[in-house]
Amino acid sequence: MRNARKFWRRLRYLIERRQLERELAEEMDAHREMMPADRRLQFGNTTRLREESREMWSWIWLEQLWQDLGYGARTLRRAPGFTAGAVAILALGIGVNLAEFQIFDALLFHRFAVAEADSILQLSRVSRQRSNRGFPSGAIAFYRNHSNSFAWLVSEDTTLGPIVEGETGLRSSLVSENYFRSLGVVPAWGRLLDARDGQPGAPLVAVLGYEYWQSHWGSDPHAVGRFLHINNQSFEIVGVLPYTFDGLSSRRIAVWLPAGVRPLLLQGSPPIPHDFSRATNTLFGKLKTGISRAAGEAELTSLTRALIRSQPHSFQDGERIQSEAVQRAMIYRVARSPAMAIFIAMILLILLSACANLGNMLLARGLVRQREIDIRVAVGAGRGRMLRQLMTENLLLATLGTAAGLAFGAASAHLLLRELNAPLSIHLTMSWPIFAAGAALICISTLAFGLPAAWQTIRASHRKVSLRQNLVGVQVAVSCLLLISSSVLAHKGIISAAVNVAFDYRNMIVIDPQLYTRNLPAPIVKEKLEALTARLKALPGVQGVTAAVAPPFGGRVLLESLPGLPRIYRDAVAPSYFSVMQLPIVRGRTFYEGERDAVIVSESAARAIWPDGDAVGKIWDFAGAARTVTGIAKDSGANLIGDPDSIEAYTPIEGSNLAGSALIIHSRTDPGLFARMLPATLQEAVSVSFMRAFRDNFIEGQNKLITLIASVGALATVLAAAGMFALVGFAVAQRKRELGIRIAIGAKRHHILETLLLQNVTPTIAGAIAGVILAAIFSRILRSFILLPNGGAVDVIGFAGGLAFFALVAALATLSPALRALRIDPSETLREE
Amino acid sequence: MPLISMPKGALAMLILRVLQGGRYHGYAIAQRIRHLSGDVLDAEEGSLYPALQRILIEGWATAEWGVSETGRRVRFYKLTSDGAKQLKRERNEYEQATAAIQAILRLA
Repeated sequence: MRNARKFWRRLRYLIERRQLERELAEEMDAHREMMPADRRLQFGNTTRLREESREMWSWIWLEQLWQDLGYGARTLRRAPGFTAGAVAILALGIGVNLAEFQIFDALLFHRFAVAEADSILQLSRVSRQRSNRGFPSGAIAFYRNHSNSFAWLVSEDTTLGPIVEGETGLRSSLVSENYFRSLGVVPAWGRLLDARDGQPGAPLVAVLGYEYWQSHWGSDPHAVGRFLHINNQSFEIVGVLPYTFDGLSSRRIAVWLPAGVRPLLLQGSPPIPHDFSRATNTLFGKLKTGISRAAGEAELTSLTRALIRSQPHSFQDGERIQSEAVQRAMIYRVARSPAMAIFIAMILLILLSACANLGNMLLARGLVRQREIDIRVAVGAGRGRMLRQLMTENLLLATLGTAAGLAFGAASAHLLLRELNAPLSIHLTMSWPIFAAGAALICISTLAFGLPAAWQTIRASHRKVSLRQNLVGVQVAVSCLLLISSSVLAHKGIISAAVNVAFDYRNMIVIDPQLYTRNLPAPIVKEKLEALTARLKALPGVQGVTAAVAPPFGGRVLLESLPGLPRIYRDAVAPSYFSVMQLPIVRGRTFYEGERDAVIVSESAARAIWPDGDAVGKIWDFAGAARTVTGIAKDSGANLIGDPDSIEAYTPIEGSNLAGSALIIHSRTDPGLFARMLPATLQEAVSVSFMRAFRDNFIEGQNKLITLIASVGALATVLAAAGMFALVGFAVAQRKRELGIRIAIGAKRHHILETLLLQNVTPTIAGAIAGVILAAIFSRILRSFILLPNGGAVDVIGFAGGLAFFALVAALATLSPALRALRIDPSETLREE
Repeated sequence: MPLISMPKGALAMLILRVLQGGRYHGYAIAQRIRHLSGDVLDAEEGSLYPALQRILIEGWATAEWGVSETGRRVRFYKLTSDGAKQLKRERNEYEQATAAIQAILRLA
């Protein structure tokens, strides 16, 4: 209370200081005049006394801050080269961090451009055994009819990959008719799907996704009203979505259709209220105000109990419904991913490197300013006061750097999103969290680069060199880590691009009828697959049709790991697989029709498992059975692209695997042309893809990752090189006189070089060792989600490449200033003061 | 006794002691201090003013402009209840400390 009053008094003194100063002066003058003339001298120094009085008001620090800022600004203006360099370095270090924050902010907090995105819940089915996000359409209709606690419930099904205008690989979303109205999405053109589209017998309509409209319809507003052919059916285009919205599942959706059209796209599906065949809808809802999540979950769980009784095939005993905020779920997923952690760490390392670099520059500058600082200390500036002054200058520098960093960060975030071909619905905004992050970075970097340098400058001690060496060591470690990592990835990239794929993947099409989603009895699955195969075989230009559970380049893999062996990629295939894929069986034979407990291994697998001896005829305990090896097939190469050390094994398609089969077509003509003929044949196919597209996308994605890490590494290397260059350069400048004398009395060139270069050797070696250790840890983490070459802990070629590159840069950065020292003219330096 | 050897805050205590006797302006305070304690302020009479500013900030006294007995515009200082408490506290502390020092000196 007393302190509060004191604070207000002080504040009044700050605001009315001009007036109060005048009053104080008047009062003191009056006092002097009242004193007898002979004693007036004893009043003391009026100016100093006024200063002391003002200090009592204790806003003196604010005045000093103001003074310091002015002084700092003048100092920085007088050294434009230094200032520009420092601001550029900080802008790099801070800019990449801000870019990253901006992207995260866009991804995590502004992902869904819908009203009250925080309150949207995703509902999932949880039982003791598993959790499942898929609901059959019938269940959704049931929940919507009987639930009272939700303001709305909407569903989307993004699992269908229909053929749109003869093109495959596009994604569709089948949504409940209340979907857009509930989420409050406003169309870019035309109208969105609504209640009238859910009526029985309603005309077939579709809404286009913004990106698809842009890329395939040339952003033509007149697309609305035209017709679109999906799986051989005609749909009228009624509207286009805004670019800010691409659904709650965050997939790129080309066309949006009412859920009711499913029976047309998938023959044999019953109408919605009775459709319990495919549990592929995701369910979202928003609670009515005042109803708790627990109450909503409890209501849906009790409705689910009724479904368990009426639909025992689709729902199991003990299932209950759990809810999760859509936005929060996304944050959780991203935060948990090791890739994110690594990426954040890398970006922070750049900031660390930039700070170390600046610290170095400031130390060197402190050396230049030693005279000025000595004078100021001599006329009575305290150490604390000097430290504060230098830190104020650094703060000014950091603020300038952050301002530049904001611009650089925004530009690079946009560039990065474009490079990565990110969906348009991810839009960057400049929001206050970004500025808060910027402010935090100012503080962190000022403390990190400024404090040690300022402290050393004031102490004017001779330990400067060791601090500078430490700072160089940090930079070396960071750039070694990043360079090694990018080199390891580049090495892997070269290996995977060079992999020879043994089959004609460029002309292969994969058709996945997704029968596994439909709860069909085995004989019907078999019948459907056979009928589909027969229809496909009858098409012109088809060389062969076969079946596999995990088609190569299809994204689905069956991994088996056995002790002491590389990762084994298993595939369950039809007997005709090897002949259609033209993958020769080098020894033994393929499966017989209906054969069980058999296995065919690849050549590399045979070498790895039975290094000395014939594999054919051996009994091998593999994939849940004791299997006889019936043959050895050539390595396909398909899995080597992603995993250079892997081996392959094939088993027959057995029992429950049958519904998971996809069909592989080898086409004699271009698959793009071939796909245009498919719709007429394939009312049932729900996903068609080209093998070449998958492989090309994989290589492209990998190249992007390499480019990203390599450019971050390059940035760090530029910073480190600049740091080492400056270290040697300043050593030369500082010791010019000494070197001149030594040259004059006949020092050999190599002695001079030794003196100058040795100071870089220790920090470089220490930094490089730290970098290698960090890189080894890093690649171990990396290995858990990207497969790296050479099963060992360290990719020797990649590590050596990264280190060699860094050594080259380091040599160039240190040699050129050192060589300049050799050209010192002794007579000139000795004349200098 | 020169000011240098006075304990820190002694001047403020003296001012508060003077103000206990009534409302005074700066020059009058200085005169009374000289009267009470001889030559404390002899070295630098103006050092009264930083001390007065501190007293104002702490809220131990208030100031208002008025006219002196000689017809000059001067600032009068008046003790507040906080100031009276502060004087009492400082006096107690001072007396305790002096007593302790004297006890030690007697023992030695």
